Amino acid sequence: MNYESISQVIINTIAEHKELLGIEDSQDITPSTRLYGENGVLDSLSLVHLIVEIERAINLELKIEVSLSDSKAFSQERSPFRTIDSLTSFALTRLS
Amino acid sequence: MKKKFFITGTSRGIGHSLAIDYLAAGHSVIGCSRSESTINDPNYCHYIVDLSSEESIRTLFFKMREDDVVFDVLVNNAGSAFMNHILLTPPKDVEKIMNINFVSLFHITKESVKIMRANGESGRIINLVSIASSLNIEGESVYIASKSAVSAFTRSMVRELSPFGITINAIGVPLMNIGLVEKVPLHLKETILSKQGFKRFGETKDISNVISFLMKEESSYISGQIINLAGVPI
Repeated sequence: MNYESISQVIINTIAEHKELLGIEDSQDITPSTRLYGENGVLDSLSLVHLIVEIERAINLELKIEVSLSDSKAFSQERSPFRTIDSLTSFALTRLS
Repeated sequence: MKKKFFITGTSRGIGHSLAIDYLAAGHSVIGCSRSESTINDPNYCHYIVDLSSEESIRTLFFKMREDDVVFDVLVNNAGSAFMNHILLTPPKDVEKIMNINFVSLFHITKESVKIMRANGESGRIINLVSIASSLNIEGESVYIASKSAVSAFTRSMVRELSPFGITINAIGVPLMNIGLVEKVPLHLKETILSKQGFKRFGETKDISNVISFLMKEESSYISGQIINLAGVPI
């Protein structure tokens, strides 16, 4: 399990669920994409959808059970879900 | 229309009785308990779980996902009765009752929503609480606090679950003729019955009647409600 594989699962999951997440088709998704907080592409409900879908994707693709629940989930400044990069790093800590 | 139920605590008491009734009506039931299944039916699937353990609940849902389990209706039935005077109640008993009656329900609900949200807008969550919360029975303060936590959880979850098309309601269960009633002393049974609007023990059909109503497609606009049985106002 490494950074690249988790990051790819996250990017693929976002791409697969753009409509559910309210993200426009034309929006590029890269590791630096702001997900949540200032200039983020997700509102709080979309963030919930995304996190659940990522848990599911990690479970299905990597055969690993992971919970990405976090008490700072909705913090504008400290949410681990602010960017794909921060989300990937956070997921790795939960998987280690 | 046939539904798929997930009922917690199906080895005995209300959960067992509800499972038998819904299976007889042609529905499918997934059940769980600490012990082996006591129900033998092709439309019944049983998981062994220790609901006092978050790890055990996580394992339960991991297995469910492996088995591609889906369900429409979650009935949070499992729980534990408790009676004692506050001055004689060890703090560890409070933690134990809150854990089994509320914290485990939180974990079960959270993981169930992840499954139910994928089913479209038809999910139903029904929490079994107690009319004791409305009657303020002496000696039941810890039990009542744990069940009242579930009632408050039920009311406040509405806005978080409505975007998924899932309703959440609770049924205030009265003194029943099965299940945890065995642990209730006779004098307390008489006290509770005297305070109920209807002076009889509740039966499983009294509960399943409300569940059947809440399951209906036409009930998709009803959420966050606590429906007390036995003629006991909230």
